[in-house]
Amino acid sequence: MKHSKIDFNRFWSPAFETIEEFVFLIDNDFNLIKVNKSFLAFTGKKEKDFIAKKCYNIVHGTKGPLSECPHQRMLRTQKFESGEIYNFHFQKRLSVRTTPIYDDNYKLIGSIHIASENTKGKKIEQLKDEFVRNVSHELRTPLSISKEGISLILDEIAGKINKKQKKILIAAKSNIDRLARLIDNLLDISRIESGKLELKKELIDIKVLIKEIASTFISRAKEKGLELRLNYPKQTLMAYADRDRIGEVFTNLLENAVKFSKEGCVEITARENEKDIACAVTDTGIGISKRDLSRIFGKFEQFGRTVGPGEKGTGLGLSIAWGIVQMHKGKIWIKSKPNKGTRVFFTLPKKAEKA
Amino acid sequence: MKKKILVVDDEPDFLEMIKMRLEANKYEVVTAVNGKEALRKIKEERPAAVLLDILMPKLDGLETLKRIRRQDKNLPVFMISAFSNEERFKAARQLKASGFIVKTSDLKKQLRTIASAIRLSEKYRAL
Repeated sequence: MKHSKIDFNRFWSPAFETIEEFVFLIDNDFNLIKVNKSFLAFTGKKEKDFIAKKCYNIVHGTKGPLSECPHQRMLRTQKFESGEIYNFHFQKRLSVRTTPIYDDNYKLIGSIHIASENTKGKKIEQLKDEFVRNVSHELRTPLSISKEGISLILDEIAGKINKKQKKILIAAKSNIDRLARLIDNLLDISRIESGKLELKKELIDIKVLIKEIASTFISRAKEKGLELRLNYPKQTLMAYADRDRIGEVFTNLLENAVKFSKEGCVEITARENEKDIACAVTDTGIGISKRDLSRIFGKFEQFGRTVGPGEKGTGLGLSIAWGIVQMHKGKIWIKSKPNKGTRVFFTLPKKAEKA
Repeated sequence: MKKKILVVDDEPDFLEMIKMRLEANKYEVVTAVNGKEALRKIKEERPAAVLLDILMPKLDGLETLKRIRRQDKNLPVFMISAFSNEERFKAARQLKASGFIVKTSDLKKQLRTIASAIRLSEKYRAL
């Protein structure tokens, strides 16, 4: 380690080795300099497995820092930062506190990063989850009544209607569907965030799933003049995953691909690697800027809203996809350039994890 | 002769909608607003099927289902829910619910399941 000028040991004390919380020493480049006994005990690994590795990779399993990462914020503000992060890797909600540390010349060299299982936060999560459930249920009842009411009139069960009335009611009905989808998404993201989403994992045929989901987009792609392409090898591709949830991931990615492309093609690819099944959804759409890419998986982020009138979404599709892939212990990432299209990659395990 | 269906839901507006839908499909409809009334009406009206809201105050859907099953193991009882992946579905299945109706999904399509369930149960009763 090229840190011989700075004696990190003086920042470290036996106290850190005793406390329950996880303590990390992280440098300006997100490298782990030191981790405490509590973290080693929790992961069952040795110190050498962590040192000089990127903290976001080890702790969160991601390729870069999370958008809510307090260490990243601390690097900018050079002040104490804190936050609550749900860690998919360990399936824990953690309360994180980050304090900057300096060398003798008052130069920032990294941070002390303490993560604890926040019991107060857990209670708040529980309350939030209950709240979202209750509100969702309360919202769905008038929603379903309105929808059925409109359907009854459209089906002329309450008397004949004219073309104009039909047109109005069809528009009203599709917007109620939109509202219902938004509520579903909110419930999903809330459950994912509090780790309460239960996955039913089994061996599934990815090619069959892709064909199924793609078929639901055929008419929309046709309307927009987009080509829909499937690209996968002849042999079966089996992944260990929750069929409905991964279906949701494909749906959300295709939704975005179709929404943000004015022309060209949308392609779904899948192939088998040694350790996983790799899937991708590619489009020839408006693309994403580098600055927006860092926020892309955040909630309610939606970029390029000026494209496609009437093509509105909840801004939660990617967050949900990210959460689901993380829960499968897979990886998800995006490559994109403005006006050059976007490609979303994700991987799925081929078999169940060894306990 | 028209088949009779009992619909149980604490939302009067929903009862009105589903009643119209069922009547348009040539069913005779009787309603109840809670579990207690439902049990009484089952005895009095002898419906061919019951649509039961899963979430109700006082005697809730699952409890009502339990009591119905004590008296009649074959009566088609469909649980109505606002959600499509309702956690209570598992419990309802264990209590031998005949099926599920999701309020926010197309009611028209779901009516076919009810119709076939009634036909099936009649065949069973005839044995």
